[in-house]
Amino acid sequence: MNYVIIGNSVAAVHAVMGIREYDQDNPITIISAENYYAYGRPLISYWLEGRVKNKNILYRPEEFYKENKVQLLLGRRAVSINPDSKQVELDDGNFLSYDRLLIATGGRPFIPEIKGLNPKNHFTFMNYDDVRKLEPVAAPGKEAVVIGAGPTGLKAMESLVKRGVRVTLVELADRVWSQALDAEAASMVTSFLQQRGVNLYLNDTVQSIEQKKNDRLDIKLNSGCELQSDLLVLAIGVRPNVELLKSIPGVNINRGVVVGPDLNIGLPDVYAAGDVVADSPPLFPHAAVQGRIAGRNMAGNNDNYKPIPPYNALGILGLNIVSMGNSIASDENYELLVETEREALIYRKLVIKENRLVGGLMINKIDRAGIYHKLIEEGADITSIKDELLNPNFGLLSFPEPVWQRQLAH
Amino acid sequence: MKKVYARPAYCMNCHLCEVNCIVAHSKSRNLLKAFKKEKLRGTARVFVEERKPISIAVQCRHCNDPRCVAGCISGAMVKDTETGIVYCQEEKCVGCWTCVVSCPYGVIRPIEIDGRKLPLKCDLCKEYEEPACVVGCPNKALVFEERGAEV
Amino acid sequence: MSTFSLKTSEFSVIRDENKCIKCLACVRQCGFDCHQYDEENDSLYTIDANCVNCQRCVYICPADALKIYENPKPMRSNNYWSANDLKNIYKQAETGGVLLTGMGNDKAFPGYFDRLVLNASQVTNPSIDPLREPMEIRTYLGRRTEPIALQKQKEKDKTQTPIVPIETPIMFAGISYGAISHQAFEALARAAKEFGTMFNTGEGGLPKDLYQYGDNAIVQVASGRFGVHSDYLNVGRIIEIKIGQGAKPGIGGHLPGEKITEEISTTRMIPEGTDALSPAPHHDIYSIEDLRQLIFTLKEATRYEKPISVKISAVHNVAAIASGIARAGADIIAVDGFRGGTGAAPLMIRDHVGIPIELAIAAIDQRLRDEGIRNSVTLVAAGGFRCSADVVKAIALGADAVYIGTAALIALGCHLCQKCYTGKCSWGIATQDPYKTRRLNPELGAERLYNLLRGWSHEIKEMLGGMGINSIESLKGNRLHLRGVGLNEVELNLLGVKHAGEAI
Repeated sequence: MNYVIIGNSVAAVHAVMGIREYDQDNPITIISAENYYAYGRPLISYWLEGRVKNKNILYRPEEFYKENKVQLLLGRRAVSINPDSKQVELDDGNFLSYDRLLIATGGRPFIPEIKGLNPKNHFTFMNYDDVRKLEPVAAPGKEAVVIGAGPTGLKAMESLVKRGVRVTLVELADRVWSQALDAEAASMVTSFLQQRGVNLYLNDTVQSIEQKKNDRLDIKLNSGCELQSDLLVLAIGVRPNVELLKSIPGVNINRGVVVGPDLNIGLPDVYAAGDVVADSPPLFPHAAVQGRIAGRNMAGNNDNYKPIPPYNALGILGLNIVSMGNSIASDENYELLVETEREALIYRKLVIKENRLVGGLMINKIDRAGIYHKLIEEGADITSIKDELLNPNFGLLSFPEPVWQRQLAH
Repeated sequence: MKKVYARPAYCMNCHLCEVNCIVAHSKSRNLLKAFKKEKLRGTARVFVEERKPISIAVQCRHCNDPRCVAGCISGAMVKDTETGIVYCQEEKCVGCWTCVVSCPYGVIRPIEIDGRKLPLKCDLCKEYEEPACVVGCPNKALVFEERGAEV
Repeated sequence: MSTFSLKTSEFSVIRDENKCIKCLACVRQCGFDCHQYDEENDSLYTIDANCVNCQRCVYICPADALKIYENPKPMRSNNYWSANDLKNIYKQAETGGVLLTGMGNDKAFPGYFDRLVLNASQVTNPSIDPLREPMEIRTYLGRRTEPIALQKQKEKDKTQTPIVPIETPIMFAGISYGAISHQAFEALARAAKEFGTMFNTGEGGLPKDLYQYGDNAIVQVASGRFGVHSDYLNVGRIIEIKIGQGAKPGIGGHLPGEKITEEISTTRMIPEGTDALSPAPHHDIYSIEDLRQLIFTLKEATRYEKPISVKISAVHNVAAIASGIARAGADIIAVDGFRGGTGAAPLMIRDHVGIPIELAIAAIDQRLRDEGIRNSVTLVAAGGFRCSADVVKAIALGADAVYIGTAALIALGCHLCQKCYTGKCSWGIATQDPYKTRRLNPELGAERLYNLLRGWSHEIKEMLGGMGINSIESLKGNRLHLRGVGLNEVELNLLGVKHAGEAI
């Protein structure tokens, strides 16, 4: 039995752990395009800030690979898969045979067509290498334009601000982090950012870039505004890395690769997990859970992945935001429970539809948020506890006794 | 694995489990120093929920498939493969609080100690023989025991 | 807003701020709202007037930051009028009510146990080491069968009830479910079963979930007849007719409606929330003949399978009454002295009615011997047994066994604050408040009670061994093992003991 994993991030690591729960012996090979041991990808902003050092950026200790009998091919790319011969072709011309294969290739930053844009005059914010390139130039006093005010753009902005860089955020939508924040929350976040000296352009995006002789950039926005900057960071979105799977009969691609409940991609013994999977939010916990399940299934188990509603916890410049499920809903199809303390920058909102919790959004008061997420995930009827949900003492005891008794007995 | 189980019928809402937890996780391991000098009040990893007359001490259930471990972006939160204890390697934690949202029991608490954000959760007092909350419970409302396979 | 009152705080609670960690355990545990937390200022303070000195906070405080002091006398010293007298008058001047109290008489009457000493063997009659040699403290309750008659084969007496053995001459006194929490009640039942002795239901019936302890239960039938039905009578091992209680001879009982929870109402068979009133007398007993009728009614109802005990309080004429009870067919006489406890009694009754148990035991034992009927009954003494030596002295005076009530509750945490009648007990004993009852874990309570029985029993064996006797039976009524210290001739005569220093 030969396990091969393409990709070396969170899904891959959890797949290894999943395999090793059932199979402690057979070899695992990981093909890693990046030249690093698996690291916490979201940690790159903390690394840039200087809060996380090289050693601590590793997701698991170096010994992880050895202890789990994993052969790690660093800096190697898979260039093709032959499902008939069960082989993966590597960029050095070698072939790797597999009995079980996991596609955990993740995604890559989306780069739109922009006049004047070239690989040398912009940065992306996804990989360790990205921030290693940014680090020498992101010096105090410099100016940066970050395109995209989603979670990636916001974290890029935060780390740059902490380095003393003056940041301008440009966002195409009418508010920051429009996938997670409703108008009220976004306005709170916006004024918070502005108070900290962050420039913000909404309903706008970059039209063209021009490199000046002094290494500065002239950035023209759709609105006609012109920005001067030392560096440009693109954080617009992520695209799944599905190239390996294109044109393989039996594999369906819908932006990501389509998987069954067992995370098989429609080829015998080939599974996928993480950001490469179609219809799954490109989020860290989801990749980890999928990786674990895919790993178990590769080792012969029969686990199903039950979709987890998206959720995200984001700290920006001291503001703590948590979004869960449909956090932006505000129309009359939903029932909203809201608590706002603008002064204290506290916002709590729960979204209810047909007596079920479908979303939540919390700023700076996130205690016990996990219980809400569980309710969203379970789709449980919350009629009996609706009045309790935003109560400061909300907790296990808010539920009917049989429920909390069961939870305690877990 | 051996876990801490609460027996609500005997929980008397004294919150001494919290006090003992704080002392056990303090540097000094001394009650007065932990509270007065290290200023650790409010940093217990177990906490009592109360709804008179019922009260219960809630804490990490050390799940088989811990969501907090899956969600941890830094790899700080791990489940020990031998003991089954889920714990946070605090030096690795960046305080993103994904674990707080991941925990279905809501028993990871977002806390700031000395300006540092840390997720506080029960580590079953892995450095001790028995969890401090259990040892110190005056009414045996908390027990540390093996209850067989989970359903 | 406060209204002017002459009532003063009896105690002051001192918090050592250097130690207090503001964990608020005291606030959460105080049953009398003495400890308060001001959230706005994050500070703790006490309302001393509320403190009853039950010591719950002192024990629960993890930082040992609390001390309770008695307030200095709120008046100039006076050898006749005590501060307590004044306090009571002030209280009554405000309320016009009867002064209520709980637990036993705390007045400084002379305690005879403290003026009696025990003998020990030296040289001529060797003492026995209970760790090396068998020592029998098993005790039998009930009517002894008639002496074996050689002349003619006697027919088996069909009215003879069985003898009930107990592993130690100590039983738990009648404390009703209602007066104490289910948890405390269960702790007593469990400990009795584990040790092999009896607990007594008191007059509040026996909850169904505790029927499993029936073999160790003395089920009481009192003037209110609460919870008395056929199953109840049959599940117990012994039935006790309660005529009187040492803490309040001559009066009935009153359990306030607030304590009548759903479960208590079911057990007692009275409506929820109504006061449970026990009449002072049994309305069907006005003579020994009436009593005999009830005794035999109960025996009939239980097919002569249950010994019948009759419990009275120790009053002036106790010996003659006991004789009558024995003749009425009781198998056990339980007599409760004036130090006996209560959940609620008028203060004046508790402190001023009844006689000391020591004198009552001596008087009853002597009277029954004189009348040649001592063997026909078991004499159980109750009312203020504080230690195993008290037990040994009572047995030497003539008791077969004793009931402990107050001591048992103390083992469960009671600090004799005497506020049982308020139902606010901070220790979860004398309360039905579900927030407080849960602080008494019956498992732990039973363990503590078991330990107490074990400790006392062991000490009893040591004392017996020291006296050179190897069976509790040999001590019973053996007053030669007792000597009085500082007692006058009348007292020595009543107790039937010689003065210390007098030889046999």
